[in-house]
Amino acid sequence: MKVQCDLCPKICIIEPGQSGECRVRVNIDGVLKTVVHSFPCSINPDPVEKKPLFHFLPGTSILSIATVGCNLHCKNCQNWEISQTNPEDVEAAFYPPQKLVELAKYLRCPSLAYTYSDPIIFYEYTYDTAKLAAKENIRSVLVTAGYINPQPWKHLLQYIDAANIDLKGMTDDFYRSVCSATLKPVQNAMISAKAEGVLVEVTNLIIPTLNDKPEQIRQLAHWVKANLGAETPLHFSRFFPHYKMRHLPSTSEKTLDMAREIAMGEGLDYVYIGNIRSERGQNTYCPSCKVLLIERSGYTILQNRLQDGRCPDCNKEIYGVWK
Amino acid sequence: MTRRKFIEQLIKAVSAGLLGIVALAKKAVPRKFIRAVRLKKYPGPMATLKNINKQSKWSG
Repeated sequence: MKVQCDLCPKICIIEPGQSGECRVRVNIDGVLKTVVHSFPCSINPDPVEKKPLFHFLPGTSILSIATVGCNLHCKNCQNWEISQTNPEDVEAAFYPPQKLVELAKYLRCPSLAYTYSDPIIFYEYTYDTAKLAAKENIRSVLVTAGYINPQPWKHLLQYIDAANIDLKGMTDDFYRSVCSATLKPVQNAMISAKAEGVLVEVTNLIIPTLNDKPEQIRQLAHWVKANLGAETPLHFSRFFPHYKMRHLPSTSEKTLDMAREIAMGEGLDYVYIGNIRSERGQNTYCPSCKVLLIERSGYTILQNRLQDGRCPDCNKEIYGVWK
Repeated sequence: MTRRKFIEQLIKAVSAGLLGIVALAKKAVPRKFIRAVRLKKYPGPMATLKNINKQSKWSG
């Protein structure tokens, strides 16, 4: 008997013995099963700035996990060795939710990140761990492409504190040709995450010749401001040739600076540049009095002047989770 | 047509109409999301994860 997976907009109809597009949700004897629940292929404590999250517990370590598989197939994927492969081909360890939460406590990580591949495809593992973590005062963070159906998304968000969601481009054509996905479900996921009270930061990877035109960047920044609010942090990330896009050059620093200028010109309060060292593009400035609030170098916090989440000079409340 | 025959046909028509409405209503209501069941055995090789206290090499 075939089964249909309702988790993401691909709504795969899966034949017995086969998996959905994500490779990890399998039809076994007419029952939809996840083969990666409790079997991460990667567990590491990272700086929270690496996610990137710049407005969530800065300077802390976040226990980050992933399983193999992904429901998108981005031609530029930086983690394709785990995202575009079968579980049969990748080593994993047994870490049920309880063990992960204990490890986070042992390593003194105040939060857990479900990341590297995409937590959507290890949904049940993410959900069970986040629910348990919430009881133990460990916070949960998603780093995701946001390609999920509304019902499971809303169900998961009740245990999620923050999310960095990729907005990879502003056209369906881009999503279809580069990522094997569509744009609208991602935008809807972002809007509902914000509406549910999750701290949302947005990442846009700028790929030369594909989504680096000033007009495309302006459109993206405009959409973020109009739908998520001017306070939503936006990260422009540098592309490096990877996987099936080795023929394109890395994004230039000039393009990243230009993107930041455009997005700030569109009225966004916090615009950052990632995957590259940048003098100003990694710091947080007060949107009201423009004073430096958080100075970063790479993933290191050099100084944090915030006082109770406010600018020490003009007392403006700064969007984020600061303690 | 006898009165009995008329009532029989009326009941059939109303029943068919009701069944149609129920079928349409079922289609109109979104399917409830059903969790996937956890498979207890990982299909790939099992190993002890290395460098569990170090920063990851993966992006994100």
